[in-house]
Amino acid sequence: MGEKRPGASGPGTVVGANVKLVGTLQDANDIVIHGRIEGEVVSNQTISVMETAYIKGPVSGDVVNIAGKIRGSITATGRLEILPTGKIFGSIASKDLSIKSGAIFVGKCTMPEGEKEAEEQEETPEQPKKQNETYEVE
Amino acid sequence: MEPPKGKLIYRQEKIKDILGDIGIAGETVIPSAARTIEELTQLGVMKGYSTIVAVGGESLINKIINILATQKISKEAVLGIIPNDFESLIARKINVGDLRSACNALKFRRLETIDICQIEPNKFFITEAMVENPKNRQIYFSLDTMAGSAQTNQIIIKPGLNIYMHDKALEGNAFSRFVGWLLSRKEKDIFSSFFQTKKVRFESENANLPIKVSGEIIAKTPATFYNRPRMLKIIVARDKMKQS
Repeated sequence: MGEKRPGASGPGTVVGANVKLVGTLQDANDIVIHGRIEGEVVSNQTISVMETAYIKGPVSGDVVNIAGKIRGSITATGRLEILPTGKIFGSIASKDLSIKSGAIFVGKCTMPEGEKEAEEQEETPEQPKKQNETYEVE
Repeated sequence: MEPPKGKLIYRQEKIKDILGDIGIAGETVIPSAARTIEELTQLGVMKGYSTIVAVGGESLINKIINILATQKISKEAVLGIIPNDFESLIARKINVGDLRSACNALKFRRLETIDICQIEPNKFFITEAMVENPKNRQIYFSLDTMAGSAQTNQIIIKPGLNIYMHDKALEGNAFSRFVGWLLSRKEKDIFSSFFQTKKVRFESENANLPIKVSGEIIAKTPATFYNRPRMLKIIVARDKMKQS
């Protein structure tokens, strides 16, 4: 699909509510989806899955906003936001996650950097408190 | 649509006068029953002219581009344009507002290399093509890595292969639109689509829909469109260069 256009403003690809797609939708710019897609959705920037949208397949982008329905895995290198109307049936991976009240999420969630930090904390044993080397004498 | 013959001759004389005033000389040819635009363009190319100036509407300009592109000389030859209609897309593309500014653009000869769109096998255009139908139709399309279908009544294809699809019928009926207007309520457009690709094919169900460029039918569906990047050198007005 589209190459990144210098100085491009607004979305790179918009899939209307009356459109059905099968295959890989890939764009270097933003993608806005109102329609149905069976296949992969990939962007280096923002993917917005609107209320009327239905995606059956993996979604991968920098920022992913979900107000529609997705059956498939979602990977967001930046932020992943599931809005109140969002429905996800599949695994999600993001370092910055927001799930609004009313959203449906059935699946596994991994936060790669969060996990790493937690593991690091577990691995390094707690340093014993240093004792004062000087005695204070009253 | 070309103007009547009398007006055409008057206009031609006027253009010759302006070009003479600013010091541009060249051979002038007019298409006739004996010699078509395509034949005249070929003749110009054979004579070794490096610049061909099209005076007319987009239909005429596209016929010249067809010859330049199919003979694979579009990268060497330069196309100057004096449009009939200065409100047209082509006039906006080269940024000329009247006859004098169009002639002046030829004098200053600022070149811009532009993308052109090809409809298989050999139709080319530089502004936009439109597939329009009064009623909604199921359109099937295939892009680089995907295939799809849409209920649409209007498809616009622009060079760079920017594709706009719109479905007017789903915006609601006249009454709901009137109520929306009355309440100053602007509905969010969720029925328009936009894609950018290198190749696209459109097919329609049970009918061959006309593909129009400047109101003239140049092809019918099923049709495959390609983007031909940086394929043609055109002369544009100076302001156009400042803008870009």
